Amino acid sequence: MIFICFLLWTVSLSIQAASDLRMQRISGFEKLVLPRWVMIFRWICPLTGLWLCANESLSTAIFVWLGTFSIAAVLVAVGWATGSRWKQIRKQV
Amino acid sequence: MIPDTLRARMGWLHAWIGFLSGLLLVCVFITGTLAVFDTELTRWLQPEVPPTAAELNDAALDKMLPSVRSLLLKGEKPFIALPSERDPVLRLSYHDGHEVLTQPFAPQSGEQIATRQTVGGTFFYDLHYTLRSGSVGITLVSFAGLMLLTVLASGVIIHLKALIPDLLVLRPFASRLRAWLDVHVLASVPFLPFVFMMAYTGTFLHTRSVLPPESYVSLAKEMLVPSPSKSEPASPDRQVPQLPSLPPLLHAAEKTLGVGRVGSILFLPDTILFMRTDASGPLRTREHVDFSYDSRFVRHILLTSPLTRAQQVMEGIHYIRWGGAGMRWLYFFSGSITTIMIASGLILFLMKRRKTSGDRTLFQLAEGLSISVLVGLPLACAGLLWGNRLIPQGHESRINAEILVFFSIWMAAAFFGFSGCFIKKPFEAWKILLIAFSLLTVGLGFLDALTRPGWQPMHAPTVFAAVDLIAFCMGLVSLQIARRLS
Amino acid sequence: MTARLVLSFVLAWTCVHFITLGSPRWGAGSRHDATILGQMIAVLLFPALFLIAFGNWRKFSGPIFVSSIGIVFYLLSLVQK
Repeated sequence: MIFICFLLWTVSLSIQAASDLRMQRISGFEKLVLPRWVMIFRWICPLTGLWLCANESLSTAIFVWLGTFSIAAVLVAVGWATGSRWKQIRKQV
Repeated sequence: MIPDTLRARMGWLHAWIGFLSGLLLVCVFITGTLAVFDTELTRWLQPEVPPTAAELNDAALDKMLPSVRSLLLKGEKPFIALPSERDPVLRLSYHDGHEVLTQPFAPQSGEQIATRQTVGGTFFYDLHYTLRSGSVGITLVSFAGLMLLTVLASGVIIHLKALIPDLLVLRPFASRLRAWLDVHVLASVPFLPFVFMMAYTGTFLHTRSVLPPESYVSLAKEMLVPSPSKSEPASPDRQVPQLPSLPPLLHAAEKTLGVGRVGSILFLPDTILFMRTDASGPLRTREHVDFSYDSRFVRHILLTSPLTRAQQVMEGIHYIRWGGAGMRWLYFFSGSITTIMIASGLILFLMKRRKTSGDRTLFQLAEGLSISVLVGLPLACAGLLWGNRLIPQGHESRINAEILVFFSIWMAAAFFGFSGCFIKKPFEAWKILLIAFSLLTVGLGFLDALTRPGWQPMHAPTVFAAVDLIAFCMGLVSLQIARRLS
Repeated sequence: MTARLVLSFVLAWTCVHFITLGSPRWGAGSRHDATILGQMIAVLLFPALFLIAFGNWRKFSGPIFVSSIGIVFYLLSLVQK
């Protein structure tokens, strides 16, 4: 369950990063335009994660949900930074 | 001149209180993160104990009674930890006034498993909340907890506007200061719920040590009046009653506590306590069923008032002994990243002042202290694992030797760090110690392979594989940091 | 700044000390429960009071506010249950 919730948060935060103008500017992915229907997953994924966690165990649900959010945020940030670096290197080449 | 705005005032407080308390908090968080897996670390430190074992046999408990009796005769208060998901063997443990000493027994036969004496994973737990200094250490750690809450709150105020927009921002290849600031923010903001929760529950656990429910004046008076020693002197002709058969008592206790919910059996001079395991639920109730030595039921202790329950929930959340392996891993990673948050805060404090105050003795002292806790302590932890495997199994006072290894490495690293700072070569000191840490952690897997009985290259994931792999990854990260230092 | 820091710390600490000192008198339930309640409040309030005292320095509003709270809790600690 932890892994599924972590994946859902990763998807949600990745969409958030991809749709955020500041993040696009920092990373150099300025022309990235996501379809509108994708945006809804920013909310659906975390809510689904919370529902799944609560369904499995109510006592651990909130801890798992928040903990996986934190770790997913770090992972997405690192992934985004790596992506932007890779893009920079390709540009230089 | 600092502008006198709320943000500037909070920034000043965040930096100074953060740095001063951060030096201690790094130690608390590193050892606390390791203590999440204290039982598993004890298993790594006793490689002779098999990773799996058969189910508990009732007769095995009674076979342990002579060992229990011999400890009672010495005036100790031994306890038997029953096999659990985390540790498949029976363990007879007691606190000798300094360490929790533990001896494993096979759960099927009740035979003692011949293994090395070790300080065990509880060493990190003890260091985490007492700094191995008893009540003085507890007071210091609780005070640092209050300071952490203050620093967190001031950090939120400073960063309030950019809290959400900066959530995913990381620019490792921007200017060095910007990159470290991003690391600090990234390691802080997503983990705010975790850090607030741990700081609050951890401080609350020992609030009495800093904020007692009586006035400091009366406490000072009490301290000045010498109180009679509470500890009973060990007498050679100590009388210990005949120990009863344990399985019938265990099953009787299970009728009250629930089947499989007894975690340990504690032997006091006049009663035997069957304690509920902390793994059985989020509330750390310390519920127990007591029997006398002639097998009579004495009492059942369970505090149920709403406030006590709230306290039990907080303790349960802090100790996380009930959440299973997945939750412990979440705590471990969150604890590791929180350590990075504090570490990056310390580094930022030094970076911002290096240009203006780099030549001052106080700055060099601050950097020396930072090196001692940020690299010296992890180096000492890795050194303890190496020491455990390299000190001969039959070495007299093996436990003391392990502790000596730990503190000697820490002292040596601190001395090296301070020397590097005072001769104005701090980067070399950082670099050499980071490389030393990498060598010890990357090599831990090889050491494990060479010194663990019954090692196999392909085996099911066990505590051994997890410890070796985590150490290996930490070594690589440390090597990368050393490589990028200039 | 350092003087402000010391003063704010002393005020906030005194205030939360009065909370834990007085909680057995005004807190609900047994002495044990009331002490726990006092400690819960004290740990939660200390950072807030410290930051209020340190952060709001205009016309000493922060220190005055924290002192007032401290006086309230001191008076509460005199209550006989």
